[in-house]
Amino acid sequence: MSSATSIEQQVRVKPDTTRGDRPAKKTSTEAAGGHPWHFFVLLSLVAATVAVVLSRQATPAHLIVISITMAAAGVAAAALYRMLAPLLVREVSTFNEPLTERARSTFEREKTLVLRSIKELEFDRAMGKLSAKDFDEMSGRLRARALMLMKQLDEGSGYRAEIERELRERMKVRLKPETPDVRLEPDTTAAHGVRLQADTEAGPERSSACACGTVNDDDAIFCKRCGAKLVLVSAADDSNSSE
Amino acid sequence: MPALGTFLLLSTFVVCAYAVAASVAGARRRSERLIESGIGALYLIAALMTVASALMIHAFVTDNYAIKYVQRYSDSAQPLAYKIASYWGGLDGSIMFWVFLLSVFGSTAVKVNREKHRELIPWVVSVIAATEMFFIFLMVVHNNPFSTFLTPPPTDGRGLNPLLQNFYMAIHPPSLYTGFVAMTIPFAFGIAALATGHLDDAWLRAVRRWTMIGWLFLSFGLTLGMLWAYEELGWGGFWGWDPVENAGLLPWFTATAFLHSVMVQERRGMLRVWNVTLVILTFFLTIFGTFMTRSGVVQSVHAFGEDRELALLFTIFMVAILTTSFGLVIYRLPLLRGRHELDSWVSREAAFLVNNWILLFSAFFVLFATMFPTLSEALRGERLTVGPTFFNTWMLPIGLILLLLTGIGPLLAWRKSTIANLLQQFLWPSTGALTAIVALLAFGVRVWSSGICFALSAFVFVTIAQEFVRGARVRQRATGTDILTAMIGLVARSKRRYGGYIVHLGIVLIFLGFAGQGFKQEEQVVLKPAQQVTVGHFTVRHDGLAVTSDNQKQMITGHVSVFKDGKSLGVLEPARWFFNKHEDQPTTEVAIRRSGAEDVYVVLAGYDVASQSATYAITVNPLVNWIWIGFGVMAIGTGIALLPDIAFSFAIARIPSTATTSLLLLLLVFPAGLRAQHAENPQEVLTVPKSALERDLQKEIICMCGTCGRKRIGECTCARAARMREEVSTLVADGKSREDVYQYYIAKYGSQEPLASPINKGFNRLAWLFPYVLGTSGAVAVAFAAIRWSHRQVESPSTSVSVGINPELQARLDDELRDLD
Repeated sequence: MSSATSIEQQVRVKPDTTRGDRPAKKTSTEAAGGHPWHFFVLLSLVAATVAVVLSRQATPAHLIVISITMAAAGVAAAALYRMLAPLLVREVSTFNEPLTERARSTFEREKTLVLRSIKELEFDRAMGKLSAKDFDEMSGRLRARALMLMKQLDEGSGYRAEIERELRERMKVRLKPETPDVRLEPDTTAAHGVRLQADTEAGPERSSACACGTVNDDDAIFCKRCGAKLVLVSAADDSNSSE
Repeated sequence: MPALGTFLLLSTFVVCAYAVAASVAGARRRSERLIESGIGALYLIAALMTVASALMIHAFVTDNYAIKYVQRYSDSAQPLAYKIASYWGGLDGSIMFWVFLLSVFGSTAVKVNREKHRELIPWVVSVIAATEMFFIFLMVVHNNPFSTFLTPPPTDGRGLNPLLQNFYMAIHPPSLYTGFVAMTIPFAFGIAALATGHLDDAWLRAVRRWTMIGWLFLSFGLTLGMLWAYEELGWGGFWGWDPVENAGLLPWFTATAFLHSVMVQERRGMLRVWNVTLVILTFFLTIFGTFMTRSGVVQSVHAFGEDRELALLFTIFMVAILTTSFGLVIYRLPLLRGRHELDSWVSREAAFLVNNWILLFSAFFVLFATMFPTLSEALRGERLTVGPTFFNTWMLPIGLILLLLTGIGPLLAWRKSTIANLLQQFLWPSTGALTAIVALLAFGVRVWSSGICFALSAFVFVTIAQEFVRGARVRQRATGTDILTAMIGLVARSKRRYGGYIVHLGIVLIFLGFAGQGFKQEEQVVLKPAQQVTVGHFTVRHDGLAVTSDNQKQMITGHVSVFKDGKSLGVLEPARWFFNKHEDQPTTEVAIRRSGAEDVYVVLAGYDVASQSATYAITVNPLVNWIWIGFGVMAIGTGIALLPDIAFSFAIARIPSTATTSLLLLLLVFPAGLRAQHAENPQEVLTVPKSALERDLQKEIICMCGTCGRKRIGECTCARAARMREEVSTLVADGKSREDVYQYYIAKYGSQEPLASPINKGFNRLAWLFPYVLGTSGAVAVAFAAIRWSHRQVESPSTSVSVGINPELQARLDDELRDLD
């Protein structure tokens, strides 16, 4: 979420009722009470007025159709703006919902489904559609399933810590120069290496230098001048210096 | 103006291409910018199509005959409403209207769902935009509605087809198209789910609502089509199994099947592949229906004429749809495998399986029978007619089985029902059905199909009433409120379930209307002034003819007085209208005296102004109005099922305690009170069919005029049908048998085309065999699946794993269940 809040425009974080939080952009013009669509409405009204005044045929049906056409043209202009505007802002990473959240929402959905099934079963039983024996058997099965899901959900809070711990361990292993993994997947490992360094040691201000002498950003994978891969060099340097 | 229209279409095509590219790239790269831009492009498509549509309507309103399409489908004398309706009255405009509706619907669906289904939205956008792209491509390269005359344009237009100048026909296509385009939304979500692999039940929630909306519009469109056929075509019926009517019915069957089977997936996690397949099939059938109507592969009163190039383009598109969709289904099969366990064959799941089998059988049977003439022509070079007789042979029992299932389904519990429970559940509905049978026998009703239909209707009605009453009682016990509040709370709590029951009630009313057809009485008579004829309880007297005209048409109007048991019911004025420039296509303006019990339906079939004599086709149609009322009830039920929770809680606070009663009272139709009048001077009349064989043959031979939609000669009111009726009459009078008459017409037209059903011999036997093969293979497939799932359940009974009896967790579960209303 921090990456979303750091974009150049003013950003307001709006809680998403369905899945996690999602950034909602709001420009300074909007904050002052003006919206782009105000402009387009105004434009449509002016265009419709001009078209009606200039129209040679003046039956009511004709004038109404002209006005509707102009209003639709205004909507088209607004839609064109809506299509182009996102291309002018900086990229915001999407689908950034953590894996654990997804798993959790799946479990939640399944739990709701099972609870509803139990309620329906109780309702059917109360309406006399089920025998006591069948009800007990099926209800028992569904309750067991619900309890299992609740248990998994309760334990689920530990997922994130567990995954982060595992990730940290794996990356630590890969950073060691003698680890064969570095050779097997040089690009990804090195990229992770640079990011880990940035997080754990130098901080965001640290830069890495290329063989050509250009100073690049610390998270750069390729040199911005000569295009050479930086990552292996950085990773190796980092690991050497740590030794 | 035309140049601007063409430019807009081209621009929309480019924007569609951009929307597809941006959305797919955005989804692949996980780029919010591209995805948002793709969504914006979809909105832009809707806006551009709105401008283009407004331009087209402007051209119609201002009589801009420089545009070919406007010149062909309107004229200056046409009323404004029909000028606007002309927009979708022809092939080119109907495609444009289709894209306009799809763009508006697609944008709305994306706007509503973009936060809830973020992963799916870029793929949804790309599928909708790709579909729009295809239709715009058709317009740009083949059917540009803005194309102009190269020579100086004519000073006036040719006018809209007179048959389409009817209120119901003006609103029928928008409704049917809306139903069709709405089915694109579930398909787009289905493909998005397959493409992303997010095949949990989340996508179903969006899909289910949009399918319900599409289903409602489809039902509305079909009902309007029936009303139009009833009021405009003048043959006394409302459904003639015309290929274009069938095109609307096909996706309705599969959508209905989906709306039922989706519940099985939601409740039990079963039928995942099947549900995706139904979504794809429904969309495919909407495109196939459009193809049938527009390519001319079938002959119909509604079809737009033969167009081989268009047929080829549609075929390519349909192949692409099937290949991509089912390719994705196969690719995602591992993710689509669900837990298939069938606890018992006597359960709601099993009932839904049978329901799906019947509905799919109906869809494929209707599809096959509709396409059989085309198939026969392609393979053997002989054009046939598959008429209502053939369809009714199968669809009548199928309809009755579906009605029975409508009653049985709600009585069964999910998972398992025991004998004792079944007895308790079926007691009252069966009593209701038996009472109906006894009453029918007592009243001397001997039409078996209608009798069974009435009995089954009673069964379903009591089932629904029982569900409401017992459910309300259970809720009353739980909440301590009065029964009415409990009932409203019950509906509010399970809107889909009880909304669905109200839809079932609508179905019952519709079936009552169908059952009434078994008691339909028809007469064709030639009457001179003051002569009269009696049909059923009604006496119809011919008073005279009037010839009038306005600036659009000439009208020949018959004046007839209608009496029931001696009491005058008023004057009816059936007419023939001859629209300027369409004098060869006179329209039949039917005069109907409506009531809840029966309609008196009078058609002016022929006339002689000099002698003031007229030929009338008089039909007494019992219970027919319950079909339209039934649709109204279905719409209310669907509306309830679609209502958001908040809307219902708002409504509950304001519903007066008598609301339900008032609503039911509103639905009742009472005949108007009329003063008594006695008929005088009855004279002898001439009934046209002189024998039973002649009457039968009038239903078995179709009119070959080519413009009436292949109606049976007993129903068609055109001059060719009148000549054919006389021909049949002469043949029968000469002592020819049924077979001789058949052979006479086969020899005369060189094929079996004049026969309402193909003769069951040689290649045609395929048509008669197909339903048996289809039904049997479907039944075997359903039984095979059911047996397999039952075994799986037996093999793995240990789903009730012990989680360790944690009392705290148990207590929490009880709390959560208590809170879940």
